Amino acid sequence: MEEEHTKVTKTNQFAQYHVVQKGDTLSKIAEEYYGDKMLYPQIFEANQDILTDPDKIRPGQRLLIP
Amino acid sequence: MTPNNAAMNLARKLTIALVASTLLAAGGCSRAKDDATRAVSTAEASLAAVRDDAARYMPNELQSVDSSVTALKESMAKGDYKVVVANAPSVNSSIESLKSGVAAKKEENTAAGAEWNTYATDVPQMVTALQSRIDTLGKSKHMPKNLDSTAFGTVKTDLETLKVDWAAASAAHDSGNNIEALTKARAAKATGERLLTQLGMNAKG
Repeated sequence: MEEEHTKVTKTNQFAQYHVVQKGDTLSKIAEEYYGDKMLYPQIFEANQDILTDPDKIRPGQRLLIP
Repeated sequence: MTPNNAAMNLARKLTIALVASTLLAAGGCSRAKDDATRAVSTAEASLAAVRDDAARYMPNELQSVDSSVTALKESMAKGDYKVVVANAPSVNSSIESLKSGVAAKKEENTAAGAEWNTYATDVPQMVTALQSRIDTLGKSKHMPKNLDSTAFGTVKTDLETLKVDWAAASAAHDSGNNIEALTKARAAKATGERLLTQLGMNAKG
C-alpha cells in the first residue's frame, strides 16, 4: 500500500529516464539500473502509457525508470 | 543705619536668598522629573511599537532592551531623574537598533517565504523518486554497478533522516519561520541531491 504512494511518475522532475538503444530489452535495462534483470516488470508497469508488451520496445522510446 | 537695622537688613537678604535658592532648586528638580518622565514614556512607547515583531524575530535582543528600559524605570522610581535623563539616549539608541534589526529580519523572512516555494516542490518529489528507487532496489537480488549493499543501507538510512529533516522544515514554515524553514530545506535538498547521485539517478538516458 505504501509503495503506491511512493511510485514515481513522469511529472516528477527527479525521475530517471532511459532512451532505448538498438539491442536493448527491458531485462537488460533492468539489470543496468537495478542489478537484476528479473525486475523488468517494474519498468514495464511504469511505462504502460507507451508500452503494451514487455518484449516490444523500440529505439528512441524514452522509458521512465522507477 | 543702627546696628539693629543692619542686622535685620542682613537677615532679610539672607531669607530672600534662601527662598530664591529653594525655589530655584524646586524648579530644577521639577524640570528634571518632567524630562525623566518624558524619557521613560518615549522609550516605553517606542519599544511597545516593535515588541511583537521583536519577540518573534529577535527575542534575545528584545530581552536585553527590555532590561535597559526596566533599569530606566527603576531609576525613575528611586527619583534618580538625572540618571534617567543621562541613560535615556543610550536606551533609545538600543531600541532604534532593535527596530532596524527587526525590519531587516522581516524582509529576510518574506524573501525566504518566496524561495521556500521552490523547495516545497522539489524536495517531496526527490523523496518520492528516491523512495521509489529504494523500494525497487530492495527487491533486487544484486546491486547495480557503482552501488554495494553497504552504500545502499546508508542511502536508506539517510533518506529516512531526510524525511525527518523535511518534516522539521515544513513545521518551521507552517509556524511562519521562513528563515529557519529555508535553511532546513536547503540542507534537505542537498542531502536529496547527494542520494540521487549515490543511486546513480542523476544520469539521464
